Amino acid sequence: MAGALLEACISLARPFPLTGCESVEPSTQTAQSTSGAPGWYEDPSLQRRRRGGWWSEIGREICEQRVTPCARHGVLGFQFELATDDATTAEILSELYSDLDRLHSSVPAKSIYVLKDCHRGRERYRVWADGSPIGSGNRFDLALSYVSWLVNRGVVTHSRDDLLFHAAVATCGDEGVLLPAAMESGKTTLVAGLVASGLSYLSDEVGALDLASLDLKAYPKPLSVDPGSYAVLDGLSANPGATFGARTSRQWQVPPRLLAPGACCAKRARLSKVVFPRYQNAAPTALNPVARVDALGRLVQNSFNFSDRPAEHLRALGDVLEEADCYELVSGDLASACDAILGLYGMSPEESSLTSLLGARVEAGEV
Amino acid sequence: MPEEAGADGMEDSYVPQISARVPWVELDGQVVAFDPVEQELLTLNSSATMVWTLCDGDTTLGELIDWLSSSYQLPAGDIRGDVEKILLEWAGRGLLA
Repeated sequence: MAGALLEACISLARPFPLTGCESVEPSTQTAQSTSGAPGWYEDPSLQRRRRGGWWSEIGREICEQRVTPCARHGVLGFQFELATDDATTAEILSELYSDLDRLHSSVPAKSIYVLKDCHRGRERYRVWADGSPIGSGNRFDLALSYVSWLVNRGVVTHSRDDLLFHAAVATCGDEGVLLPAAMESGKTTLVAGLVASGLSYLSDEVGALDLASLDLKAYPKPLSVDPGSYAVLDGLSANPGATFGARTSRQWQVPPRLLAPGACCAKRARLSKVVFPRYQNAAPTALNPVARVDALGRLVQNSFNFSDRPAEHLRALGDVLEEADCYELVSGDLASACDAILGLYGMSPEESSLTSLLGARVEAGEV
Repeated sequence: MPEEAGADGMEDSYVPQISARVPWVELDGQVVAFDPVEQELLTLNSSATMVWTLCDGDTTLGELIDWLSSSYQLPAGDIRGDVEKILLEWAGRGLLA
């Protein structure tokens, strides 16, 4: 034993920064972008308005006169209203968030507005939150990404009853699998594949552990799909790229129900598996067990709010991990990655619909 | 730092105790604790976990070393230095009451 204790204290990294959902924050390009070039930018006039309170008040009035509410929702303690002055935008926003619980009109809610203008013959979108301008640009997909970011940020900052992770979540029956990972790790693509394979969707971005019941709770937001995954997602189920994704251009916001009928039927699940996924181009799929204490440390690093109530959160993590199996998944192939996770639930590849869905596209070299 | 500690080390009668302000759990035989000052998570190996769980406010340092000596089949003299060192580290971090 001599010497062993000298190495006993292992310091892990600090918990995940608590500033919000950084993975979905749209890049704020700049005012240096060439005028008229596609891109999202902070409008200098809006910056001036933001600095001056009275401009914001005028802006709020103008906004409220122009927009019509299209949806009011509540999820994980965050209540918000989406409103716009454009019929097509209203239709898309309603469709994107239709899997979240609806609120009665009397419930106070944070307002998120998308305004559409025509500027020098080009469409232009402005996003406002609670009367303050957030940004503007001529890319509709980034306007939707900003809405998604505002909703995610609202969830992360308003939730009081849940321990939140930067993670995707799916469930097989009442057994949930938490997929915590940093951005660009393939969370969204993996959970989309699992849902297309028959699992239910709980979230692609924020995993919420209810501190009272220790269940995972649903946050069935639209999936935010980056260009690298278009080909894979386009091969799944209802062809979101040709129908819905294409309408939102560069970053697809895909309603989960487009991936599979009944994708959002689950509201909560017991945490039975934790899988830390990592996409690695062309890597063979490998699923290896992770010690629970290591998983706990990695979960803390992936948490948005662990430090708010560390004693309660650590106790919850200890309790829930006692009953969970933990793994690390490295893969460069969606179908085999999904099969590896489905295998944890005793589902064979033959039972998975994903292989057949993607099969033709794989043979054609599209995926 | 315990008052019993002197230049030659800690007294056998010293009774270490983990601070009530330090949240911790034991998972698969290993303690994971949260250092509220440094905002860091500490994962202890199995032998450090034994020391941690014996820092219960009842067990003296002498009893703790005897228990470890018996468990690891090592002379108490070989263990004392390691135990004192880690207790000093924990005290320095404010993990001990």
